[in-house]
Amino acid sequence: MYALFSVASGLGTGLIGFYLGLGLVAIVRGLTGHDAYDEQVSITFGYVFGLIGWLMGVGMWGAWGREWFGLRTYWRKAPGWQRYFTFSPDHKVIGLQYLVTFIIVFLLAGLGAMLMRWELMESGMQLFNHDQYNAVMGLHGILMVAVAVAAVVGGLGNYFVPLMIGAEDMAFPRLNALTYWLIPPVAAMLLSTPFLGGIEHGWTAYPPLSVVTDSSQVLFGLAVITFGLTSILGGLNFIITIIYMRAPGLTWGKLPIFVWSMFVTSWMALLYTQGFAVALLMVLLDRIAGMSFFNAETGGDPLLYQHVFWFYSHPAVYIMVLPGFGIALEVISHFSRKPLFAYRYAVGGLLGILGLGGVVWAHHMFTSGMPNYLHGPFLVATEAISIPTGLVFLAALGTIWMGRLWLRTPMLFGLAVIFNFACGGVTGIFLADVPTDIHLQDTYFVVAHFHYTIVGGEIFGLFAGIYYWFPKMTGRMYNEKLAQLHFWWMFISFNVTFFVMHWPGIQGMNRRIADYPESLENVNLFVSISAFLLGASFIVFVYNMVYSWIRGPVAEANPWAARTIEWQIPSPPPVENFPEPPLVKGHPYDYGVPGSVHAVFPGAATLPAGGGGGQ
Amino acid sequence: MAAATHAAHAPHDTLRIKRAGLWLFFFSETILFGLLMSARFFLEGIEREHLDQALGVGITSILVTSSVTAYMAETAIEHDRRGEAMWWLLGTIALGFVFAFGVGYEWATAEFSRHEAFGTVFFTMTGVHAGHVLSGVGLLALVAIQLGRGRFSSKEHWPISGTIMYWHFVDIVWIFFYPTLYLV
Amino acid sequence: MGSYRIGWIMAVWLLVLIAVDFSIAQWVDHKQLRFSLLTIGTFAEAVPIAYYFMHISRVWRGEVH
Ligand code: HEM
Ligand SMILES: [Cu+2]
Repeated sequence: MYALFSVASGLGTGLIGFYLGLGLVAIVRGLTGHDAYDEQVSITFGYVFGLIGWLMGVGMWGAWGREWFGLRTYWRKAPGWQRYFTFSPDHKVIGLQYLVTFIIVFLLAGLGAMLMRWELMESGMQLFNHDQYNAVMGLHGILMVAVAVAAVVGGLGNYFVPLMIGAEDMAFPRLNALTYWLIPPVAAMLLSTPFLGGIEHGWTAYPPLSVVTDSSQVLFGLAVITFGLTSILGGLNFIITIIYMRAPGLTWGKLPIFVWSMFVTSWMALLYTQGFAVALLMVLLDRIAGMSFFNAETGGDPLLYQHVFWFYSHPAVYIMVLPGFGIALEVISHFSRKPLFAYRYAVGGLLGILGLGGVVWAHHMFTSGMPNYLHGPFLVATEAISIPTGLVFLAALGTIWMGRLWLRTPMLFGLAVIFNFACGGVTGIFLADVPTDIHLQDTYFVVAHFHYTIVGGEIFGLFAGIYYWFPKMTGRMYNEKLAQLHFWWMFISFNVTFFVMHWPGIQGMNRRIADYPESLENVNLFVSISAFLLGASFIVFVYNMVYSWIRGPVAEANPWAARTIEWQIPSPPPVENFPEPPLVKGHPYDYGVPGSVHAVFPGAATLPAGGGGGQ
Repeated sequence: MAAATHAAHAPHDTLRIKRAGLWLFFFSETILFGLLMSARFFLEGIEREHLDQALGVGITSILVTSSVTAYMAETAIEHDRRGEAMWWLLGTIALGFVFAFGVGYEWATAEFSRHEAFGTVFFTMTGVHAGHVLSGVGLLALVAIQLGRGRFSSKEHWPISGTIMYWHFVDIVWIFFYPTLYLV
Repeated sequence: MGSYRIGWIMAVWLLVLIAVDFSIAQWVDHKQLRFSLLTIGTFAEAVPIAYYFMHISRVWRGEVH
């Protein structure tokens, strides 16, 4: 059993590392006259050593570490499905590792949401006490943020960016594997926070609460810092891959829009993720080293945290949604059988968001007590982002306009992205205007807003991508009827849940609080029931995916008659992707343009890419 | 498995890709250090605390000198002078250690404590930076060992160049941190 | 390819600038002015290191042998 061996050796060396860390702390503390064990300090150092041990044991030592000492490297080769449990350099393996892992995380975090809605069905406390509610709420939040940041980027991005640009792999395959294998420890740490008391501070971890709360916060901080590292290194890899590994002839003006969105997203990840990591590092230092970043008594300032944190976390919302836009534009063009409208403007819009996304963070802080003169600039900058966002919408609507829409599941999800995000964007305007925000801050209105943008914009995009590329990744076709059932079920219950949720928000119902005034009981009961329906829709999805992957009918090579490169090779693609790098001739979306081809494959028996484009 | 087939057609200039990747990594680290610097100005403005100025200028000169010796090591290996490169590398490592000891001495003798704001930023910034210095020393030692085994030449010395670039980067960070902490 | 001469010139340049920065810090009392001068001094050290020592131009010019 290669799979078992690989994971077990990782766990083994990880444990050795962990105890090594504990031992070192014990020795140093013993020598300096402290107790040998201190929960927070020991966990921190144990984790750091354990993480290194885990990585090395799971295969990084053989594939990479040996090189640092001038030794010969090797890969653990595993047959069939077992390779998904090894440190594999193949971007297609890594993509599926990410995708499956994060779908599992998504379902777990969704379960947390169900529990919260259960508690909120009635006012007063039923299922949980306040601490337990907070623990579930924080866990739901951070896990979903992780899913939103990494599922599309790490999963679909890894799988399809190299294929769509005609490369044989990512630029740094080992780094790619490293970013994936950092994820299991992150998930394990986050999921074990409830055993140390549970994080009470939500995913944002504001001090002073995060500095004084129980030591599960340390697990949270370490996990998120590690996750940030993954995100940064992944972004770096994508940027270099897209710049240097494009097939001959694939100029920037011909890049598929999904690749463009990944490029912009990667820059965001590379530029801003440090903010979250640094913010949590400061919290960690305040906690375990008694430092004073946030303690106002000794010269610190809690606002520092909010600035550093939102410096990342506003751009993070674009890290979440831009890949969703990319997928939506991609499928909308393929399924409208029309060239992508205003391609250059759409790219410009993405770049504009990249430029503006970094200068709006303090719109999350209008009620924080920061200086008043900052309100105006951040208000204006925030609303200015609707201009580049509008360009992306322009491209989507222009493509749909007079198109011959082919309403298969990927297309339905793609259109839903546009619809949902429009709703989320509109509510964003209310939150960006200081006078309305002062009323709406920290209410369920904000919750509705960001679920519309993130779930509506990105998770719907994720599902569009999963259905669209399912035949490519598995070589089998999913069941279209069930898929459409999933779509309508999810789309309707999602919109009902979160549209209605604006109302208690406007009434002043606070987010993150387990209880609320009795007068809001009816509407909350309604939202809860609708949320349960939303949760249930994923059963259809999971069943369809699992069943079709194992038993589904074998898919045609190019079931959507799409023109982009990834559809011109066998499904699933061979290890080396292309026997010879393809030569790119024309634009990827020129549907209906007579005589145009996107790419040709020298030396291969396949048709030129875009052969199905004439219809 | 994949690695072998990938090598079959390698149309891309791998050295260039590695170099660009390393620069992006520096870029990303710059933001990390930049945030720490911003935290220092956010909390303390442009005031300075009393510090051992002689020590500060001393360790700064040492670290900058180590950058020069690192450059010399790279130049030597580019001219295929292995023995000479080895000496420059060892010199760099030694200077790196001296710098780290200097920081340690400053920590031991500082007049402020980590429980107050200036101490907080001072110890965090120097600590994160010293961590980078020590990892740089470790990497330099690894390439020095391989150099001793006769591995590099003017044709193939990316591990040395990459490590030395990292060393210069850490030096640049200190060039910013030094005035931020000691001089403004 | 690097050259030894550049190494020596840079050594002198950097050490002189450190001395200059140090003197600015000791003798300039006006805070904003001191801050600005130090910023200039710092970049005057960092940019040549990136250019001559780290060969930043090889990123876009490619390797030279
Ligand atoms: C039209 C563009 C948008 C505008 C004008 C906007 C505006 C805002 C504002 C002002 C807030 C702060 C609300 C408050 O706490 O009082 C906010 C919160 C939030 N927004 Fe948006 N937003 C926009 C798009 C997005 C997008 C694209 C996403 C994600 C994909 C997003 C996700 C979030 C999240 C997660 C929060 C809440 C963070 C928290 O407090 O936990 N927003 N938005
Ligand atoms: Cu925001």
